[in-house]
Amino acid sequence: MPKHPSSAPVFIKKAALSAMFAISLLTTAAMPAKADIKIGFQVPLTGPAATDGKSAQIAGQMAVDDINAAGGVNGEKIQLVTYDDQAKSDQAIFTANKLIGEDGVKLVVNGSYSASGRAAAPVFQQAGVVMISAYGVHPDITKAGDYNFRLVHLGPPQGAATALYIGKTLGLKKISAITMDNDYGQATMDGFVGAAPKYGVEVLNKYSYSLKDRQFGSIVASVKRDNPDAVYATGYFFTAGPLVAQLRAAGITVPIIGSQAFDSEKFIEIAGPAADGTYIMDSFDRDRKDEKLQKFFSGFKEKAGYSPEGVAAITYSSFMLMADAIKRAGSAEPAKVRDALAATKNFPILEGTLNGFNSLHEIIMPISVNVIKDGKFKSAGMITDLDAFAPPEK
Amino acid sequence: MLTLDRLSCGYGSVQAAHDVSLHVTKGSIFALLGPNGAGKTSTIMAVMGHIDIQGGSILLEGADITKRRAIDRVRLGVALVPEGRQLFSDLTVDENLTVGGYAFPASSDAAKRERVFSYFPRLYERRNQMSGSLSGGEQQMLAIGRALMAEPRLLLVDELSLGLMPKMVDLCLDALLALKREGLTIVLIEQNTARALDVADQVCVLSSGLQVYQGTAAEAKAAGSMFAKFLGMGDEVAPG
Amino acid sequence: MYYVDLAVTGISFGCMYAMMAVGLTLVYGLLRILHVAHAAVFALGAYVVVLVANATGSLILGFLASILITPLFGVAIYRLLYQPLLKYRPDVPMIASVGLLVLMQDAFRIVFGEQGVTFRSNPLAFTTFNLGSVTFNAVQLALVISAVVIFVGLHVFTTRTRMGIGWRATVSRPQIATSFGIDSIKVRYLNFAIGSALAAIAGGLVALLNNLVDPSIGAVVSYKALAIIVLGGLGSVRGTLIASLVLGLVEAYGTVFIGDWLDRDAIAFLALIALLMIRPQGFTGARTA
Ligand SMILES: Nc1ncnc2c1ncn2[C@@H]1O[C@H](COP(=O)(O)OP(=O)(O)OP(=O)(O)O)[C@@H](O)[C@H]1O
Ligand SMILES: [Mg+2]
Repeated sequence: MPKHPSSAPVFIKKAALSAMFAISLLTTAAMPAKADIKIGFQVPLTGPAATDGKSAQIAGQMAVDDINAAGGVNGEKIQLVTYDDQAKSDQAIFTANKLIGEDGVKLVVNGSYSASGRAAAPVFQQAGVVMISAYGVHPDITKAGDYNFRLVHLGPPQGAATALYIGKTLGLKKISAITMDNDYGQATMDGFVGAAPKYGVEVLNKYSYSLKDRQFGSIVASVKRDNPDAVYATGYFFTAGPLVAQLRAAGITVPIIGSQAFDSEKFIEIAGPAADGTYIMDSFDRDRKDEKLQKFFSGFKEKAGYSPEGVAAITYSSFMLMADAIKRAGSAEPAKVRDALAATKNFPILEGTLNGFNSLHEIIMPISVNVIKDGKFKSAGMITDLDAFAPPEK
Repeated sequence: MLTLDRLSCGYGSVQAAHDVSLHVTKGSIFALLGPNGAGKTSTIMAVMGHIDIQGGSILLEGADITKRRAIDRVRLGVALVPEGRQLFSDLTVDENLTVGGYAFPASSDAAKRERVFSYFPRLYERRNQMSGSLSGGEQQMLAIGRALMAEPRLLLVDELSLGLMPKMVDLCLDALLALKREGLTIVLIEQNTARALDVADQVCVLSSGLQVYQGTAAEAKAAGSMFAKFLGMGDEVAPG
Repeated sequence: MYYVDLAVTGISFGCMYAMMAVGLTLVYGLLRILHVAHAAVFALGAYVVVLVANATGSLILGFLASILITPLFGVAIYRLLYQPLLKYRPDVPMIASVGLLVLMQDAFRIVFGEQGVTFRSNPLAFTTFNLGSVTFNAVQLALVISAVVIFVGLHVFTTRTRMGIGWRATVSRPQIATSFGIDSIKVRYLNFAIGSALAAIAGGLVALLNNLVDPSIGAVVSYKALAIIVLGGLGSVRGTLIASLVLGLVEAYGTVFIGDWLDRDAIAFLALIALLMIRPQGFTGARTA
């Protein structure tokens, strides 16, 4: 044995080294699991959708900061992995694959438009990654499979709720209907037209306009001829502002009821005094006496320099819901989080109380209505008859 | 009046006229003849400043104008009646004349216009008509009139008779002769050799960009068929 | 009077298109370039009006500033973008022009914000006049009056002044015009300056009508203006005027009769295609040489 006096120490050294190596391996492997739950985040930060994207990004970051400040979820912090999807489908698929492959993300909030959510949903479904689409309204998003959820009402239910609100709540019967000619606008309008007879609402005439258009002279002239009790219009703030201004300038004084995407401070800015008396469907109630909402409002305004719009609020809510689902699942494992999300019951979000999801993972939730008074959003009630605007089932 | 000294000009790498030297005496008519593609138009467009000078020089009353910009040459007393007339077709007759006098004070317009109308009374009748709707002869009159508005000392006339009825050719040539009598120097490019020799004092024949004949009109007429050969000559004679 | 209301709308659209499109026609007539970036000039005109009006509180100052600044931009486009490219095929400057438009849209987005800017005070957009049962909006009226004043002025300028006649001569035959002492470079500057000033006025009025100037304000009018100059017979100012009014009216009436399933832009392009099939040379004939 003593023939090789040096062999023992060498062996010990080797053993010690390999032990250290093994330990270091273990610790590095354990580190991310202990430190963070990654949540992927797709937002349009460049391109024409960047306005909404910026708001969503600020709100998403606020949500994650708030969650982490409150101690994280299940003792772990949330780490946000953000990608710009430009609200384009190719970019959405590219960043979805990046989130899955490079970042190893299992949970995603899509804070972008339909084109993005619709393209990304099947990719995430395939990879078994949970996605909440904060405000993407295309039906295909949830149809991609059970890992996909949507936190906003689809167009047709919103349209149906609008018919109820106009016919029953406002008691107005003769309507001129104006829609932007994209999928969402058409689908919402179809929901409205389909439900209208139930509430004695008659659609006098239907007009459509291109999203790029800002001059509505002939529609305005036609509405004047229609002489309706009210005008119902779908659109975004940048079409809605000029539209409402031009309707009012032509002396049309009847109530104007706008779709959800009217909801923006910018709408009031563009339409100016003409904005008054415009109802906005599914618009979040800014006055609700809710501590979280008021805190979000002031916090957002401080960070962004402007008041949050619906897009910001719903993105914040999406993260809060995801965190809550992880908590209820007791794990960040996607299948468990999916089941927890599907089982959501009466969860408070900024918009009110989320009753839950249906079989297709569409939200079940009352719709709140705002009206603009003196240039401010004011609550104009809540549509609670959930059966009247039930989303499609699986 | 005008001297070209070994003038070469062309378009990029294409050479349209090579080493042309000639002298036009004041108050004379100088005929520039030659077959199609000989380089006649190119030579006078070089004088007007519209094409690249590749060598040699252009002297106007002894002053070297080779490097002057096209737009300045009209003030030096050179005016152009271009090939195919090139009127401003959607301008009226009057407006075409106004453009002719553009480089000079508006106050002198009226008198010059009178003079043009005295040569070509037809233009006066048609003065508010679009120039594009004039007959060929009237268009040629207007092209000459427009050039006269530029108070020229040297008038460059390209293809005067092209497409005109003989009567109109007479009328225009008479006008040129009258102008010559008033002291104007004229370079005349003509396909109709006989008519050109009738009015010209000096003659130069170009062929394939080269000067192949120069002399007085009387000599050219006397040479008869010998002279005609120069005009008929094509590329086969052109040395390398 | 419904149909008269529509006519008012159509004519005011037409006047707006005319003021925008004539700049394109002028450039095409002179240089044979499709000046697509004219839409960026129009947008800049609109931005300057809003920003200066908001800063000074005076709409008139806004328009004055725009009429001064916008032409500088137009002339700069010629001098810095087109002139160096004129020696190439005409599609080269046109592609550069498209590039500039895209670039400027992004520049507007970055500098002035995605959401666009609105007038701090815009009483004109909400002022209406009633003539019998026909309603005019003040901005619509301003569009029509501006267009009439501008085109009468332009007509007087181009037929009664030496400079204007010289301009037309240059458009007609640039080289011969030079022979008579007209500086064709100055004419090009003048051309871009006037076209841009008109676009600035149109842009400012559209800004008032919409009470919004966003980065894409030029996009729609740009392709419509291209359609108009084709319809007008490429290079003809009169054709451009006629085509603008026709398009405005077709849009106004078309929106109503088939507006349920086709929007205004689609109607405009259907009309364009139909008209070009009937009259491939445009309204004013064959002046395309
Ligand atoms: N713009 C041009 N670019 C290139 N080459 C040209 C151009 N114009 C003329 N040429 C060439 O220059 C040569 C001389 O042409 P030019 O027009 O001067 O002849 P011309 O004697 O006036 O002929 P014509 O009697 O047919 O008018 C010809 O070979 C012609 O092809
Ligand atoms: Mg010739």
